[in-house]
Order: sequence, then structure tokens, then C-alpha cells
Amino acid sequence: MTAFALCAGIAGAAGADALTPQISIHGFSDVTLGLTRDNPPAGPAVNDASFALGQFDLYIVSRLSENLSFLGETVIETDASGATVIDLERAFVKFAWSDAFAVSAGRTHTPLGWWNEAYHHGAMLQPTIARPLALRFEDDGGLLPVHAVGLELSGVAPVGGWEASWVGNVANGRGPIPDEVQAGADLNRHKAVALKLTLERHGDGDLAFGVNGYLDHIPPDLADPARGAEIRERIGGAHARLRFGRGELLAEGFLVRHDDPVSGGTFRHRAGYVVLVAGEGRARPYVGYDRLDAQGGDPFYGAAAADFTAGTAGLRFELHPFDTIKLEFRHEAFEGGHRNGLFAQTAFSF
Amino acid sequence: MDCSRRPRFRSDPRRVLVLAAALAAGSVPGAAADEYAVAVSGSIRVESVTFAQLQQMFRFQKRFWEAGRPIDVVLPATGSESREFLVRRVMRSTDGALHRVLVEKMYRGEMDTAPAEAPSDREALRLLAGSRGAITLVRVGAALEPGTRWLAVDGQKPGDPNYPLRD
Repeated sequence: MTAFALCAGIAGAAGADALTPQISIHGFSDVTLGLTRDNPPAGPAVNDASFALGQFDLYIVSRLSENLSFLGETVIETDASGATVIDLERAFVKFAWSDAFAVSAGRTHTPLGWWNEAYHHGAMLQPTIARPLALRFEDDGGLLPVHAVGLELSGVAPVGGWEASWVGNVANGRGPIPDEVQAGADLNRHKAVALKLTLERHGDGDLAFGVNGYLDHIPPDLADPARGAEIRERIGGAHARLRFGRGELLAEGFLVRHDDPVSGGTFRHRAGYVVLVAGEGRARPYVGYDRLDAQGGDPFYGAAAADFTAGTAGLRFELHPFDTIKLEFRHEAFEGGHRNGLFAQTAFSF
Repeated sequence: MDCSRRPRFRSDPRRVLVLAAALAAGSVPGAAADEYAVAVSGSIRVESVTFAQLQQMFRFQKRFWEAGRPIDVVLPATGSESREFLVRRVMRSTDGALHRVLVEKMYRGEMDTAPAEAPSDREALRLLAGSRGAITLVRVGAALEPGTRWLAVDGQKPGDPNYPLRD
């Protein structure tokens, strides 16, 4: 890696146009052993012990010129039946003119909170094994539209002793079902718009807190009579991250509101999590709490939106800067049932 | 950012001129052996940065000298005294954390190429010479290459009483 970095850096530092784009290829993956006991609302408890191969996330970063770059990210994963699925997660070209201004076009991470942009598919980067429920991917029961196809503007500027960063985007928005990110066309004229503002202070520790908002009109689902009209979606959120000598605190909360003209109902869903990581060495214990208060009857989410709480306690050990071992106990409670699990994971970058 | 402005020297201007002349010649009178100096590409118009700004640059948080001109960090070699000082005293971090930061920045699309890692101070300065916007940290005894120059930190040069890059 060092030799490659040196070559790339020499050309990059020289500031001259290269003959070809300078490509860096990296990725993330993980392997997890899970021992679980599932107590469903009806029927006997089910015990399971399984190895699970995580997502094989491959991303390409390419410097096209001093100010122009490309990032492409593809995930290869196996579904429950063992079939292999390939998803294009991100593909965007970015023009960065200064610290205060950059514009990207393509498929990006929606600027919602901290976790979604900071960790996303990087299991090695995230503090816990499990993702917070609200921030699971669209095809995994997640609540939020975590990907967007459109235009994104971003920047950071000093404000006193702080830094104010902003990310805004205009995108196609969701498709008729939660799993669908509209990549090729937008089924309605309304564009999804999002804005995230964060105040950060860096020093021996880091402090960041911010807010975000998201507006969209979800197109009707012609296959579902209960979804015969557009649903107005509004999402508000707040996030905070505090990193200090003896630990790190991460917290986010979201409120999702759907106005459905077919049923005449308004559906509000609240989700949030808190993670506290202690210590500053290679071995760091952590605890977390994750909660979703869902309002039933939402025609967009259907049965996927159900009350959920989870408590997590674990230990992460940095085997190497590019490989983290995590041991995690998790208790999950959902409507009428609960599940306990003990997990061991190696998550790495390559 | 202040670093795009003219320098604000807190020390005696006459002394700074003498030091600047000496630095331009590649030597640092009065500089201690345990001091480190910041070198940049000669075309950079910035004369001085604050220590906080220097931290932001080497932490890859500040990415541009000015509009249109990105900062290219050249890292001293792993295991070298310059690298150890840079990571411990300037970045206030560890080498392992530096590796992880680079992974995070590239994954988030905040960096489009890994920084160069020069095998020696001399090689680091050579890399700066052919660059439009590079920065590195070397031991004070290193000789400048044509097309590079020193950068003051908090208005101080090596040898100044309050120079912050002293081990």
C-alpha cells in the first residue's frame, strides 16, 4: 500500500494532469458468528448458531484532476436463500473547488444524521456490529431513504472557533416501495430535498452536533390499491458526536412523518439510538440503546414498521488499523417477542 | 481561513527578516536540533499558519489553500523521527489512527488519493519542489530544495522562543 500511496501521492502532489485517472481500490467485508435464541410472539423458541459472511463492499476512488474525482461503490452480498445479489451503492462525480464548496452528481448517501455518511457499509468503522434500526438499508427494513440519486452540494466554513459544515441535495427520492431508490427516472415531479447542518469543534477531542431535514412526495404504488396517491414524507433529525480522551458518544434521533391522502391518516415514527464507547486504547468496551416507536397502519412501510428496542453491550478490539474484532451481546424486543444474541465479528478493510 | 492572509509575525520583524533570509538559504541559525519545520511548495502564497490550522491540514480536515488549490500532504516515512513527531505532537494521534482516518476519508469521498509517504526528509522536499500545493514536516536540519520554502507557524520560525514545533 505504501508504494502505491507514494506513486499516487507524487502524481497528486505534482498537481499536473495525469495521463490516466489515478485509481485507488479498497473495500470492506466481515465475517460474523451469531448464537441466537429467538422467542417469537407465537410458538416455541428457536436457537441458532450460524456463521454469516457480510457484505463484500468494493469502492473505487479516482482522481480525475486536482478538483475532480469519482467514487463508485458496489456491494456483493448473499440473500437469505444464498443467492448472490449485486447492488450499485454509490456512483458520483465530485467537483471540489474549496473547503467551502463542492458539488457531486450521481448516487450518493442521503445527508441524514451522522452514521449514514460516516460508516454506511464500513462495518469496520462503525462502533457496534449491528446497525441502528432506523439506519438499516432500504432493502433490510430500514426506515430512512439512505441513498439518493441527484445533485449534492457541500462545504465547511469556520465560525469562530468552530466549523460549520453543510450538505444539501436534490434527488429523485424514494420509489413506490421502501426498497426502491429511483435511479433511472422519477415517477413524480416532486424532487426530494435534504439539508444537514453540523457544527464541529476539533482539538484534542471532537465535538459535533447538528440537525437535518428531508422533504419528498412518495409516488403511488399502482400495484397496491391502498397506495393510490402520493404520500407526503417529512423527516427531521438531530445528531451529536462527542469524542474525548476517555471515550466517544454518538447519538441520533429521527422523526418520520407520512401524510397519506388515501386513508386521510398522518403517521409518525420516531427512531433513535445512543452508543457510548469507553477507553482510548485498542480494546474498547461499548454499550448502546436503539429504539423505534412506530405508528401502525402506515401504508408505505406496512408491517415493517413495528415497535422495536435493542440493548447492546460489547467489546471492540483493534487487531490492526484495518481489522477490528467485536464481541457483542444484544437483546432485542419487538411486538410480542424478543431475541437474545451473542455475536463475534471480524470486520476489515482491504 | 487565516492562512490565506498575509503573515502576522509576533516576533521582532527585523529578526524575522534575518531568519527568513537564513531559512531561504536552507539553514536555520539558532534553531535547536529537536525542532521540526514545515515546508511547502514555493508557489504557495501563505507565509504563516496557526498551529490549529496546521493540525487541520495534517488531519486532512482542511483540504484547500485557497479556492481551486488543494493541499497535498506529504507524510514523513513510517518510523522516522519526523513522522513520530508529526503524529504525536501535531496530529495528537497515533500511527494506527492515522491509517484509519485515511480509510475513513477515502470511503466518505473526502479524499481522492492517499497522501504521498516520502522515505526521507530530502525526498519529501523533492516531492514538494514539483508540486503546486504540497506540505510536509521535516527536521530542521534538512536543506530546502529549489521550488520549496519554509512556512511559519503562529508567526514563529525555528529558533524563535515560542516556536511550537519543538520536541
